[in-house]
Amino acid sequence: MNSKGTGSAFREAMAWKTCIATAIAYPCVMAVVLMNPASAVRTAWLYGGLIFFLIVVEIVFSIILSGATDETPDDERDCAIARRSSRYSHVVLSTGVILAIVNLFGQSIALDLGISVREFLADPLLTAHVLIFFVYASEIVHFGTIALDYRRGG
Amino acid sequence: MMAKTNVTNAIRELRARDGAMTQQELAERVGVSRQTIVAIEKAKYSPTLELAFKIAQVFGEPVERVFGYEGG
Repeated sequence: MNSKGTGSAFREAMAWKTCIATAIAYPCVMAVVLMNPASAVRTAWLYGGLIFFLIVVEIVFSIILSGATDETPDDERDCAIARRSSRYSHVVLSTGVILAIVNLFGQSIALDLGISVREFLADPLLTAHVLIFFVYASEIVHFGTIALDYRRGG
Repeated sequence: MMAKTNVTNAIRELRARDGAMTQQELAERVGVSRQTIVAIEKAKYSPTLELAFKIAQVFGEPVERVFGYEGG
């Protein structure tokens, strides 16, 4: 197995770049969404675009890393870092899914019982907003954990 | 900084003893990256049992001579 010294540094740099690119994308989309929050069609297109962007980022990240790993294959520390980042991002995503489900049922129950709730809680798109935010947050946590772990030596 | 692990090691001393073996040479012999050896030496990463045995084998020492455990 080759063990060139550039492997970890390259992985860390890629993780930072991907994390920053992801971090920039969401506020840009949200700024446009908030300009006209009532437009569900536009919000759907924007969120669809954001999800597409995240998928492309993930694929590009994997392709570049797999190219790099031809020279520096993953060793057990790389695998441990990847496992840890997946675990943390999974927790964030699961939290989002649970909150979205709670919100969905909460809205229905409030409607059934005739309970008035704050306007933003009654927004039919709130579930989508919550889900998209946590998908985005889980990606940030995923790449951020990888970058920080390589930086710290873990 | 990431907290140090409770696994201590004598890799640096053993490398010096064995004709100043470099981290790169050790990494190549056990099949990991040099950064992984650096992380183990600095006690920032605990190797798997398999890697610990491989490292000990390179130095021709029992694993308990290369690695130790500090902690409650």
